[in-house]
Amino acid sequence: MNHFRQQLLFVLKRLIQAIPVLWGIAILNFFLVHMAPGNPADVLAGEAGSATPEYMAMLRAQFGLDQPLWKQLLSYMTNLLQLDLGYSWRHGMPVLELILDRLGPTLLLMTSTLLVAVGVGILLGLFAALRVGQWRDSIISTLAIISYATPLFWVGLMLILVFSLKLDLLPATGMENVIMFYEGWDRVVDILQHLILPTVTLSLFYLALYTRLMRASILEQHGMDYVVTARAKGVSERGILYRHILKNAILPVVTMAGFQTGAMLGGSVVVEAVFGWPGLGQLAFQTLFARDYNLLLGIFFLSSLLVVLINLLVDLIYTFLDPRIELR
Amino acid sequence: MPLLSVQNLKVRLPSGGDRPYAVRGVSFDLSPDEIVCVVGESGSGKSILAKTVMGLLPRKLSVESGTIEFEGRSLLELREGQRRALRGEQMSMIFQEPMSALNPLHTIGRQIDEVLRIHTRLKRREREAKVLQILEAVKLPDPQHIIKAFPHEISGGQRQRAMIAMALVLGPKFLVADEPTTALDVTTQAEILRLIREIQQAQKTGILFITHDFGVVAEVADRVAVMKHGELVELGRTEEVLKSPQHEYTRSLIEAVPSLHPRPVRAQKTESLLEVRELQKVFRSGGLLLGARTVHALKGVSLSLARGTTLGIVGESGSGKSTLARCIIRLLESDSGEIRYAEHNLVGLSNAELLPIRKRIQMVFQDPYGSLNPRLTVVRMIAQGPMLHGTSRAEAERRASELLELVGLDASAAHRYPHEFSGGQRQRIGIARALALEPEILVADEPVSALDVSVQAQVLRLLESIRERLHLSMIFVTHDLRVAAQVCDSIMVMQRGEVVEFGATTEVYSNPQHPYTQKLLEAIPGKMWDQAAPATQTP
Amino acid sequence: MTEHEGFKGFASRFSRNKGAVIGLLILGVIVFLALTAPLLYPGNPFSAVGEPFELPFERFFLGTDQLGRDVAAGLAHGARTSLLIALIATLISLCLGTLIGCTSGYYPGKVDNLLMRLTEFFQTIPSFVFAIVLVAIMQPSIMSIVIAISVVTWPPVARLVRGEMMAMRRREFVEACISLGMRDAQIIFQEILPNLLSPIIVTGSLMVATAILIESALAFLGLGDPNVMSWGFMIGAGRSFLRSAWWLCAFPGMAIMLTVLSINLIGEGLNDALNPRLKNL
Repeated sequence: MNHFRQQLLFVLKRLIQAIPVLWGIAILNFFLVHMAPGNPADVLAGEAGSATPEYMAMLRAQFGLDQPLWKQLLSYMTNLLQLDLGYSWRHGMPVLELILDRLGPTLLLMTSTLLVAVGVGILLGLFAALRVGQWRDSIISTLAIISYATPLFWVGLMLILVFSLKLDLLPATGMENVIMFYEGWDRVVDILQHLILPTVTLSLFYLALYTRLMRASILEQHGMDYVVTARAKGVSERGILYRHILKNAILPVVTMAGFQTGAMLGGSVVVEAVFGWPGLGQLAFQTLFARDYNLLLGIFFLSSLLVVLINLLVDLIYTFLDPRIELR
Repeated sequence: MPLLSVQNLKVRLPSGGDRPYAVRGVSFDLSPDEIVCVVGESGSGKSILAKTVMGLLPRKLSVESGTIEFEGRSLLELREGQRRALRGEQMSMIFQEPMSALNPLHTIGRQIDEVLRIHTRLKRREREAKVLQILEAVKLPDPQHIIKAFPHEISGGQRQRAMIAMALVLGPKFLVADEPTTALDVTTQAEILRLIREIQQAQKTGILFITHDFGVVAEVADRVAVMKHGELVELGRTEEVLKSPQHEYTRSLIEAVPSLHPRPVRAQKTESLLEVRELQKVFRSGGLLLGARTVHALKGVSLSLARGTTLGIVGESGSGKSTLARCIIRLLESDSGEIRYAEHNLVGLSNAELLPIRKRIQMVFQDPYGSLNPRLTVVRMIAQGPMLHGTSRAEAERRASELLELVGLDASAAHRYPHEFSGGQRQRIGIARALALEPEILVADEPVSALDVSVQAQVLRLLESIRERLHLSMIFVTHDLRVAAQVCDSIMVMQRGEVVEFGATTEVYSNPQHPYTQKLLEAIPGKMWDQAAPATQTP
Repeated sequence: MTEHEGFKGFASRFSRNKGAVIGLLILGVIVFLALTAPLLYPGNPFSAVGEPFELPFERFFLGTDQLGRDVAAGLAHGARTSLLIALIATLISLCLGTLIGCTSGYYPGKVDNLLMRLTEFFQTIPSFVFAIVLVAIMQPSIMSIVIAISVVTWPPVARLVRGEMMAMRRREFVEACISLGMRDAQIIFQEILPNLLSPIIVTGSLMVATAILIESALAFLGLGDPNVMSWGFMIGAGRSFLRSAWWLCAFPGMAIMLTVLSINLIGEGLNDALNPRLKNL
């Protein structure tokens, strides 16, 4: 058994599996364009009426809008797979460029959220599991249930109300204080300060989820046969927890975290809308008012792409954590 | 001085259970270099006894009274830290299911090394050498490779060897073996038993061996302790207990063990009722491109079932015996070949064409828990078949009550749910369901292997009497050559999807032709004991 | 297995879970409010009844908003919207997920492969973004919101049902049914599905909570049905006045939280009561 070869095969398989997903998203996008109000050319041009007649004619030619449907699909997909997502008249920029501009802040927010949610979630879950049935476990579990039930946008608003408006401790909106023209280290600190509230907001739900999952997972692993074996070998309870149970218990959390990236991206739309965070989510929020459907669909396409990539990454990480790679 | 001395041990069960004690007033000694087998049926408390001795009781259970002395030290008075220091070094344990008893995320080498790291101050190099040495001692092939392998990458027998290596790496004086061969095939079981015996003799280890199988007892034990409902009912030298059991319970257990001497041959008819020709079945799993696997489960299997007889299909796991049974009653679609029954070829019949034939061939299943729908009452379950084939509900339910009586269940059972019955009773319900359609052929897939030996004997007796009364023909799939000897008129031995031997049971058992059959028969635990005492016979 | 002790055993196990009972009480109050909203607060909740920004606990129980609309009336009418949308969307999603899950789990091989690829596909695309796109393109209305929520929430149901179905499919009683000559549809729906009801009910209850969260987030982003009052819309409209009129956001948010919390608690109670074995961890 060559573990490395299996890993490679596994990742390759996942890559191949990702291809039909991308095709599917492209086809889905095409139908959404046709479902949108107005004719497809209007949709593709963004805000109705704002494009020049020449551009509209060019669009019709490029997407073959006078052709039969299947030909339209073909040309639409060719364009999409070349990452030609069209032009946003509202912003006066190609959609792809707009999106790439906003990708950085969103990735920053998601990374910090993921680190906080998984890291703190694992610690809290571990802590609760070690004191199962005691008051500290009850407090953690209760807080988790409450956080699990609270809408993200409302948490954000309440945090702004308390920490920005009343206590004036942290900035409420934006990613950095642009008018201060911070540079170097000062700028990093400034961005970090702006990052705190959105991260707390977005991570709260997932934090609660991972805490509960980790707690349940540790308790489940405690009853496994290999734990009895370790005891029979003379391993101390501490050793059993840290050398045996912990790694086994983290696996479902990692799986779940990987599974949740798509949902987290959705959550970031709301959080970015609340905090004016200049990422993809805020851009999407703005398109809703401008009825810039093409831009919205572009965001949809690229964020799906992003999730596919992140899932691949998580799969890769997983092969290092669990030797039992299933070549399904 | 005995190595281990257990006196008057009582282990309390949590309140609300079906009895107050798991172990009740058990006393015995174990000398260095002897193997004491604790034998009993499920729920006898034998596993709890083993865990108590090791200090591995689940938190819900507690020792109420009694003493356990190990080399003169009273174990129950030691602090947890002191007991832990003993475990793995002075006393070790091996378990039933090595796959779940090993940590799936650590290599075999690392798991054995952990024992050395905890209990010794050896350097890395020395530890490595010791791990290699013990892996060789338990005769694992290519130890260099096994050291780096994860549990899922090696076979079941190899895993159990690795478990044994882990338990013995520090040369403990005392070993607890909790059903260490129950999850293994019979040939692997024989190898592991031999290994345990050899190591025990070389290292002079005292072994407490937990088992449910009297064959295994005969194979390895110096002395045997019989447990029932938490109490030790008999303790003595193995030969004596097996030859002349004193306690009534021991006697009934030993009598329930099927003899290896085939039962007398019945008048054989030669008229063939069902014929299978060149049946092929390939399982494919996995995706289209990468990682797709195929398993050739049946490689051109042929058989013929004579009217009024029982044909045994025996083999180890992976031999294809269950697949064959499932292909015959069309639970699985075979890839090619013929199944001839009453002028039909069952292969290729549509479901509608198959329906009238389904009534004629019915199946009895292995798992007494999974084979009954937990949401249906017994009477509905039995009446279901006839109703599907056009019988009125009233008539079908009346017939169901009759069948319950036939299989030895009280009429009051009719309106209860499966979970209210014991394993043996559930098997009886399963048999009644199969009989409800008045089949001509009964296909039984390991119908008694999930049952305790005494219940097993009862169910076998029931099957036999029904077969007689209703003139059934039977295909009986089993891994247990003792059961097969008592049930089958002819035997078909399968290995990796092929039939390696076929013949009358008496012929196959007394004069096996194929080396694999010889190996299987050779591997049956307690063979010697059986040959010494051919008196007991079931049914 | 205690499924057969009937309603009594179930009720006693459920009521042993304090959280679940509290949840049931809270939800009871909210459902009562939703049902009686037209009686308690007759008239259109969008119309002004007082001065703008009247403080809570004075003339109006929960104050008024920037246009002088009664916040309490909005909450009561919003409860109708949220619960209605969540219930319908959950039902559709459960049916869809169960159907796909059953088919996929019962027919291993090609059918399963195809359906699971489809499910994974819908699980890969970021669900909330997809919901936004769907509602935006179909134009916000109760109908489009229900469709969007159903479309993005069925995959977990399908996976769950498939897993349970596969476990059941391996049980020998299914093979017994086949050998008795039962048809597939009969086996799936009469024999197996009743055994899957408890996990489906538990998931369903938790999905109602998720649906409420999605609906409120959509409304907050301005994708609510403009003709009906909803909690998310109230928060979205009130956020500009966060500094001066905190109650505009605070109360609807609490309403969402309490509703979702109570449903989650009930879901957990159902889980403990329907699957007692899980409690023995």
